[in-house]
Amino acid sequence: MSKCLTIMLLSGAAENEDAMFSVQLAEAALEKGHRVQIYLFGNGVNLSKKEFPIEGDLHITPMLLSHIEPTKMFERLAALVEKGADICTCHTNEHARGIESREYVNGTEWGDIGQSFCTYLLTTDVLVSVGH
Amino acid sequence: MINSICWLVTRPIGVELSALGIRSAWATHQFGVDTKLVFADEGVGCLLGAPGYHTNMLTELMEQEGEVFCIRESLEKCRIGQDRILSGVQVIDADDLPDLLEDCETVNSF
Amino acid sequence: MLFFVNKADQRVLEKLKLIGGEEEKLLLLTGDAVCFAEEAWAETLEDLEVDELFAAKDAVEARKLNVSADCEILDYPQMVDLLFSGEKVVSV
Repeated sequence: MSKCLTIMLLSGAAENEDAMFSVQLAEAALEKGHRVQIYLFGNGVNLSKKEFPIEGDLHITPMLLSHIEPTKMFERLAALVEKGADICTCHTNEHARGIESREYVNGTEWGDIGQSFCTYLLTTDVLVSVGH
Repeated sequence: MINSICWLVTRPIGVELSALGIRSAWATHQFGVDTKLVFADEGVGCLLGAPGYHTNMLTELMEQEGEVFCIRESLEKCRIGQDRILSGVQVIDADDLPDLLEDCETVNSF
Repeated sequence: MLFFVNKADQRVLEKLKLIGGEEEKLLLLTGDAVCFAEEAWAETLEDLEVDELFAAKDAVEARKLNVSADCEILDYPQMVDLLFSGEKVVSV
């Protein structure tokens, strides 16, 4: 039977493995036919914004680049939405980080704890908070 | 559907997570979810009534009949007397927390 | 009661007793927390009434650990199943 998993993600990319873990968990849940809701909270909201890639030489060694790149979750987050996940953010946390007006990664949505997150609680079977 | 939730705040006032825990409790309480907000470890430092967001939100939450608790042993570890914390916060022994949380469908520690 | 732990901070383990008391516990370790899956922590976890121990496969493999024989290694689909197994989920 299909169930619903809600992940409250409090970490951004790179700072730890929370984002990678959450995305992979979500992917597995969706693959099994479950529903997934992700609430990006705290530093997690950093994941919701489109990347502005730099052009030209990165001046980063290949070894370091290969360490960094897998931690970037922007495209994988968008891919989750394409697979049916519902992802929204805490806009006040975006505001606190000066990124509120920046373009969202495809499919992620403006949200708030009072309405968006609580609505998630109405329909979820499990809530997992992932943060540091 | 999750009908009951506990938010456990363990971070001090200077860490954003403590405010996020309080905000989450406020939100779920307002939404009608049976909510318990518990302060432990350094999080008990949020309960001293210092002017600002934490105190304002906690005061409003308790005025709206929100349930706020703190762990006695955490107060002692942080060397905070019970007489210093906000009126309305219920001090409980660590041993009593599991019973308090028995009916909470999920617990989230910040 | 299923505890989800992703931090290597030993104080996080204290939350198992604080929240779960003497109740039997399932413990899912992910990220840096998989260090607690090593045999050296077995007695500590037993004292905390951890009845079943699970660790995330990718996190274990990335850290070259000596995982306790009592620990079940789970991939992501298995972790999803565990989360949906009906246990109260406690995120610490």
